[in-house]
Amino acid sequence: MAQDLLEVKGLTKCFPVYSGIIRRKVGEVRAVDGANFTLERGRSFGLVGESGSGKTTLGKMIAGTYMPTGGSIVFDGVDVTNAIYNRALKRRIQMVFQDPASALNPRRRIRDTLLDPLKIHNVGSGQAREKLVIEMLERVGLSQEFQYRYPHELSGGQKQRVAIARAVITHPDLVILDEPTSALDVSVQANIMELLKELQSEFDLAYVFITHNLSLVRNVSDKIAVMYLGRIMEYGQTDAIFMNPKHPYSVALLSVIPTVSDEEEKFLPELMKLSGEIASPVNLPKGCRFHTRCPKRFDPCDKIEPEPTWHDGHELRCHLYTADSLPRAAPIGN
Amino acid sequence: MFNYEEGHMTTANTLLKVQELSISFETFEGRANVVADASIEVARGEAIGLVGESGCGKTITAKAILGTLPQPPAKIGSGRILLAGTDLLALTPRERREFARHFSFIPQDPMSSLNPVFTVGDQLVNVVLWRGRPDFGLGRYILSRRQRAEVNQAILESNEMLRKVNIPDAERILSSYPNQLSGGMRQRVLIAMALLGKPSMIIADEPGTGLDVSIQDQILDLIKSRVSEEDISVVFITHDLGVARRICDRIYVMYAGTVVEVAETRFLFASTKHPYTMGLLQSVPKVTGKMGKGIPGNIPDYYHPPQGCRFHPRCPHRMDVCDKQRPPLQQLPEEKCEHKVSCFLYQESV
Repeated sequence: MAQDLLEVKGLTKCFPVYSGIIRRKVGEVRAVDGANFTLERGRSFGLVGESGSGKTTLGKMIAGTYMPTGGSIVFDGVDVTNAIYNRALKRRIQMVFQDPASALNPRRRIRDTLLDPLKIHNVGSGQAREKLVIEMLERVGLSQEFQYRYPHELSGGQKQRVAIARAVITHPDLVILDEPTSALDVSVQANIMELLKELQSEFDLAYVFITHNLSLVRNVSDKIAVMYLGRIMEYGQTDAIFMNPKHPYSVALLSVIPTVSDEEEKFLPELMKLSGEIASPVNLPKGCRFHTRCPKRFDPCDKIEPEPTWHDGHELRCHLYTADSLPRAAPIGN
Repeated sequence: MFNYEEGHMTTANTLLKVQELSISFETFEGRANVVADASIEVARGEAIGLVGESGCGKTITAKAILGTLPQPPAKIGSGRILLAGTDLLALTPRERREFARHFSFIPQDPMSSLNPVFTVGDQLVNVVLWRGRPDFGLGRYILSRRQRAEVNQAILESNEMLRKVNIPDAERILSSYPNQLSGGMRQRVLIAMALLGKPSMIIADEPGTGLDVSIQDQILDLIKSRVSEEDISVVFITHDLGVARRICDRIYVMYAGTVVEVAETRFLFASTKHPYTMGLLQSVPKVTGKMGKGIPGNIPDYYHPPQGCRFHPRCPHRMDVCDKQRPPLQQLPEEKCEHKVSCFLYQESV
């Protein structure tokens, strides 16, 4: 087996909660709690979950904008957990944000925006950089006169193309895409996804794809993790999870996807409705974090938190699958 | 109900009829012809969908129906909006306000659509007190707020409505401020507010779009059940074909201010005709793992919209006639139910 590009082990991020006049620390929000996964070079990993499930926090830790509280991140064989000021590393891990309108500086022309990463990482010089910018613009489907425009002169899809160009121009190994298309129309979204796929095979990029749109993740990811309140509830190959979801939360999420054809409807698991809303991350429910909304909860669910177990190629945190006969979770990557 | 020869619904059951509505905007850069000859019909108790990408004029059309379009800069060039036979555009502003009670609006963004300085209860009570009284006036409002009996009645009614929208502890919600509620809860409060107005029609502008799938699902179920129970018509504005498929009886697909295809929901998805609708359907990512290509190009510039069919610069089936004439919205002869398309591909005379 080829060496994994990214290996995340027990990654945890806690945000302190302050209260009172002297801003005393009264508690903490465990935004991400013990996340494990691996990602091979040139592959895509999808992180799905509702808002507040910690998927963006996890992405930001990998990108190096948040310092993890615990756990480790191994990137290309090197432990980079605390290397958030490592510039050479940042060249290799880039990020694309959700809202292209606010991710680009409105006062700078597109070429200035695209030249920045080259200057920061000392790629090429003068003319060579300008040539690279033009090449990259054409690669993402924009003609070269776009380099003299300002972001407000571009449509949403074009802005996102620029944002992608900015991320890919330094030839990174890993790109973190935080809801890259949720601000765009479906027809534009399809074009952007097409572009991302082309770039992936051309530059051998690995993607961490953060989204709440399950149908989209199905089309782009090799592996996915379903997150709920900071925990990865189910983790495995995309096909395995979509064909045969195990965790009640994944089943429920899949069953309510709005579909556009009967063929798709047949594909979905039997309808399972969730009641209520995501619990507060400050006062986490005891036991399994999902038990307050789970239609299949039973005796141990509100007392003991399930440990991850392997079951049919899925890694699950659910008491339905933690019978004693099942093996304990193998460490990821072995 | 359906008249095959004429190809349209008979008027007996029609609540709202928008006929060839054109709306333009006067700006410094010239005149933008945003909505061009849009015709929409809504029967009583029916849920229709206005589907299209951003900038296709669906919200402008809805605002014209509601009468909240700022004029100027907007200008309604031609067309009629008939509510149960009365032309709303011909009314004086005062008469128009009388008609306002027939409509309720569910806004898109639950986060910014409630007043942050009043409790939810206060806001709901105001809806009840002002309901059906367009000329209530501030003085009379202040007097009525001091009449305990009237206010208590309104609180009771709000309380009951909150229960109907599946809010379990209504008392607590009534006395809380919007910032204390989650997005899903706020959306529910907005739905309750819309229903409290006792409208004959609700215009819902992408409710649930900013919410998570599981919450969105709950909200859609709620709207559907409330609407069928209270026999209210709904105009559901959305860009998500999947959502429209779940909730609407008929769907109007809009592109650049024109209606390009109309059909009952199941026919629209089973036999899609217009190239734009096809492109839109293809672009939607599918759970089966198939993802088609998007539609090349952008929505046209409204200052100089394309001649003829507005979709022709992006259309894969473009013909010579497409950039000369505008295709009329015509019933497909081979279909038994209502299915109208505005495309020369399906017209025999060409």
